[in-house]
Amino acid sequence: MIFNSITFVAFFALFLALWSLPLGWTVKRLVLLLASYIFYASWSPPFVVLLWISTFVDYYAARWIASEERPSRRRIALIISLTANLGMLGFFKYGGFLESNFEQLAALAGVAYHAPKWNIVLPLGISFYTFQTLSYTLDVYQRRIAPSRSFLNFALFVTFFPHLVAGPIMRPKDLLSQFATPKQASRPMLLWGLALMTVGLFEKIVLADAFLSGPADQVFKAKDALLPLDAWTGVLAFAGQIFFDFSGYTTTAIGAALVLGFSLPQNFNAPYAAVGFSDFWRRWHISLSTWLRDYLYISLGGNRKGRLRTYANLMITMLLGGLWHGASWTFVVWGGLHGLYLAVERMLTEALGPRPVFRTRAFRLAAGAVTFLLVCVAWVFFRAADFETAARILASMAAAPAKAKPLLYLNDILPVAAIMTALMIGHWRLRATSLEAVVARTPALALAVAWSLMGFLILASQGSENAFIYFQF
Amino acid sequence: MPSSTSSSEPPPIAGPLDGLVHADALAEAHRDIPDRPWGRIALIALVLTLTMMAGWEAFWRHQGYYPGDIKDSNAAWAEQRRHATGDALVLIGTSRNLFDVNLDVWQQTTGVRPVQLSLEGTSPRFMLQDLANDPKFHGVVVSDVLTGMFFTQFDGRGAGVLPYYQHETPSQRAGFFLSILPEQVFAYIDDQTRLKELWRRLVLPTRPGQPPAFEDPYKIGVKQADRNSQVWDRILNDRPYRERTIRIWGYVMRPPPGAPPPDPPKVIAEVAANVAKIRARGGDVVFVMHPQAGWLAKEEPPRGPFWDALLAGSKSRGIRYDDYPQLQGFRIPELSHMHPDDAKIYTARLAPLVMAAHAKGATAP
Repeated sequence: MIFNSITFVAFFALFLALWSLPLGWTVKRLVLLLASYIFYASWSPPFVVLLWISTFVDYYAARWIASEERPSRRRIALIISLTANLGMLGFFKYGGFLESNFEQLAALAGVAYHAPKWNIVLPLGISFYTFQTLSYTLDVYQRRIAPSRSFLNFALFVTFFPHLVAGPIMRPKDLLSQFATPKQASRPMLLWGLALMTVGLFEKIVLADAFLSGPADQVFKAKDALLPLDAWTGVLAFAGQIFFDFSGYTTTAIGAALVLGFSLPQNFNAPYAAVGFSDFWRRWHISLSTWLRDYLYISLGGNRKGRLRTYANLMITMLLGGLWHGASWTFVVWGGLHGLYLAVERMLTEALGPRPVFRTRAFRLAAGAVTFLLVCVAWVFFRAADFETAARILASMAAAPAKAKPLLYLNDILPVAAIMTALMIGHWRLRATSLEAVVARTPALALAVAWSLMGFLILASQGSENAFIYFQF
Repeated sequence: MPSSTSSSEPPPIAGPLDGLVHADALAEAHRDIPDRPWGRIALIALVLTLTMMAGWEAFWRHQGYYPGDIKDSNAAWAEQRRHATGDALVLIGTSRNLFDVNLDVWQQTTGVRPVQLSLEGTSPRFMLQDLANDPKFHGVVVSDVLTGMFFTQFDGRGAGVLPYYQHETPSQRAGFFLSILPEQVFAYIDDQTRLKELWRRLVLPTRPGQPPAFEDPYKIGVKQADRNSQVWDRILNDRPYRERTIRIWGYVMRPPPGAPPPDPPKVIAEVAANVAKIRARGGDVVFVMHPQAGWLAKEEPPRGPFWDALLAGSKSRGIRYDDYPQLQGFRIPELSHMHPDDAKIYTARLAPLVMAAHAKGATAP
């Protein structure tokens, strides 16, 4: 079920009515669990079994880990959890990728091997909930927490429908304890939650789908050489689309959770106003970047094992982060580029040391512009279907090829220019603050007008049948 | 912090927890709620939104849109495709089969309500192939032949509806039924009135060296939930709107410059194979060519290598409007689709001819 569908509107309204009934907390939690399974099954009923496997394996593996003193037994329990989660992820998400790479390797070795076509559908949100349950087992293994005493709470931690299919990737500390005590939103919480849902749906339906996806699709599907204006417009449109699409999902998720009385953490914090790449990754898909930092980068040794290992660890983390997004070498290159950016930034920071000029406004703006430019270059690999397309677009961004003709019309270019300008200004204004702080000092009438305009534009756009981009991850 | 675990849940585990906090007892995360008068803000926002929506709805009603005109979405097609099973009578084809055949009249005339699968601007060949490959289907297919589209792979909406039907999720299916109610209440809900569509239509200067943007016909028909369709009133009553549509047919209905010429033998072989599959299961296929007017009728390709060859090659029977006086003389306002009132009369005359052709079965080899 996607948030931008009438099915979700009906589902959420019905669930909210049930949630408001004076029922016991255990009954309410059971209703929430059932609703979350329905939410997931409404996409493909059989795949609910995967959620159950993930829930059962990790709940009992964590209890086993916690009850064992012998390191070998603890390790076995952890391996069971890792095998179950990464095995499912590997089979469904990377099976076809491994198979096609094996075919190509065999061809290089002169062996004509043709594997049967990999026709396995990727279960919705599997990358999100496997990482989430893994964080729980790993936290217990690393003795950060004791395991949950409630199977129901743990099942809800895995399945809670607002974040289930596209994050934020929740950690036990973020959510699990919230199921321990009864939750009912206060009136401000409920209304602010509804306002956030409106903002999220506006980002997705109006900005991402109605005005940005079209130019991005046209440019990335073009088979001919492009003029720089077209190539840049397409890439900027995608930079905006991916932000509004994903931020739209998580903002709606945060709002939906608030309406029910739960708090989900922030997943984006004005990322296009980042100054540098470590700053970018503190602001973009925060729940994934912190997960990768805590469970992969630090586990690999982080920056504690010398400079060379630090760079290697950075690169491994970002390459795997790229692969997490999709089973394709273009995603690996995207991750590799970000790894390279981070490594170069680290090298420069170490070589140059702190200097007063770094704190000037002009320098920060210039560094922010360079960061955004390089982020956009990396997006080309993220969006392009293959390296040929990526190379063609990058070449067109650099210079006008001889035979290029105009592709996009002003109807495409003007909204991209307007929305991206507004987005950049908005991110720079929000860089050192939060949406909540800005809203708290905005006149009530202005908030009401903004809310109603967004509501009207959503209704006038009439929703869309487009799934969120991050669903496929 | 208290935990409300039920008695049916596992007992606390014994082990070296070293005073660690249980996952359910960690400090809870809380989001800041901006301190504003939310009740007042929500009320004003609601009133403003409703006011704007009332104005929007009134505007589109004034433009000739009305409630009850159901969007012809992929989901609407998929729902009808599910009905195209067993011995159903199924209409496949282009917009002519969609707008010229009235399902209510067909049902009154023959006692059978057809399933409408025809799509605007789409060759019916992919639908024929889909039905031919469906072992559960052994009914009657009535396919229209718009020569230009039939004999080229004019895919139109084919690439959208079939994958959607094959992979439709329960949520999407529920969404189709849930959306019918608001569409019966609000006139503004229409593919033509989406913000994206309205912005796309805005005429802005073109860039140097850029051809004018492609123009497609705006709304030409209205539909019910089961895709029973007819030409929209505005085509009948608004002359500039109608003439714009006719102008667009000038390049939509003609092959684009540089398009490869049609290859009738290849197409006929493909169609014949699919017809044979349906007949092998006890079903049948009847071809129909609906009336057209003006230059569209004048530019109709010669029947020999197309229509006649198709019937002969697929051993099928066909009803061609210019072979039957009772199927001629109807009003076709924009040269391609029939006036809704005439479509009813036409359907009442066409349906018995089609059923009689079906009753005769395949032609002799």
